[in-house]
Amino acid sequence: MSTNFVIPSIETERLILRAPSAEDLPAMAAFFATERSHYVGGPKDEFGTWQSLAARLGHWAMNGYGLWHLTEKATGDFAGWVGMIFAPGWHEPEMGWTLLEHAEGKGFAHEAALAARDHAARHQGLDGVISYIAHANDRSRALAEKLGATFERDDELLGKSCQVWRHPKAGES
Amino acid sequence: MSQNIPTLETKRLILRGPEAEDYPDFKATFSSYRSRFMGGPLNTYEAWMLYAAEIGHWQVRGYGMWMIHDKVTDETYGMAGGWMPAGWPEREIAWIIWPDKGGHGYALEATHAARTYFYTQLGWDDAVSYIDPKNLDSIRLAERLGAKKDRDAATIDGNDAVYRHPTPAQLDGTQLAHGIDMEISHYADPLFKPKGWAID
Repeated sequence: MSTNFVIPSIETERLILRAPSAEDLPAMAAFFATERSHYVGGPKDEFGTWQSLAARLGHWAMNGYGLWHLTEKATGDFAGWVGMIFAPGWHEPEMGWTLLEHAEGKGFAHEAALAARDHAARHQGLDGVISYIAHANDRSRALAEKLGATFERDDELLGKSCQVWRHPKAGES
Repeated sequence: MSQNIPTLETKRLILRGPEAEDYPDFKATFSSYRSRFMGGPLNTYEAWMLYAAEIGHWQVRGYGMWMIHDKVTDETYGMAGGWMPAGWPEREIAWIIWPDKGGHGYALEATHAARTYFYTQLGWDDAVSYIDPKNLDSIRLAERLGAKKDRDAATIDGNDAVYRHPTPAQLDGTQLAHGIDMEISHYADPLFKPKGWAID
């Protein structure tokens, strides 16, 4: 047996969900240098960003699921990421999402999250997952509501307080 | 996208890509004082993320760190291979042996195989190892592999010494290469085997 993992690609109307790539590093580094990244584990320096990218790939090998990076079909631009996260400190697998600033406001996160949630429920054994959302992250909370998720409890992730939102199971949304 | 990591075989060892089932051994070492020269000790989240990054490194760079297994028992002894995250001036040849597995020449045997693979299969023409000056065991291993301290080379953060490995040409057919082979052979099959323990 050798280390072998497959990251499937998923196509939606306007996006491709695909494997994280080294070509995404400059945009990731720019994002992780901003305050917007504070809601999702940032800020990170160049080394931290690189390790994050490599760990996203290894996450698929460790868990059989993970984060997809998003390509906007019309432009070919790297738009952000969405997918399932589970590491020490997480109570259960979580669906997370981040859009880069230039891709915000177009409904991309909603479109990608629906596709990722559906894929995870049908192929990865992850149904009715949670999302950890930082208290001040109003945009993410609005998206969770739009996705049909409901507030479950206040909690803590890696030493930071946050909310836990629970997604509906496939077929219930 | 999928990833396949080559397997290397030596006299006593099999080097395979890091797998999920090997993680507990990695975690034990990186949460211990043993990892103090490699950025540790790490908490459980940091150790997991580093291990995931060890796997992802193969995808990003096309090379990375192998898990060292005993050929017979499959037990793991540590890791060895290539390492170059962001901020590394050059490609590094790196190794770590679990704290209770030192002293058997496993790092030498595995690292030598990794370096040979990089030189012969990937066409590398040189490599360095970044070593904490207090890490005497690793400095000794670098020297046994023929690496020499390079005082002019760029370091990672100024707190590490750079050991430059011999090039493929400096190794090919030389006394140095012969010496490395001899030492590995001696670990694998000692010329003089003690017949018992000395009484006094």
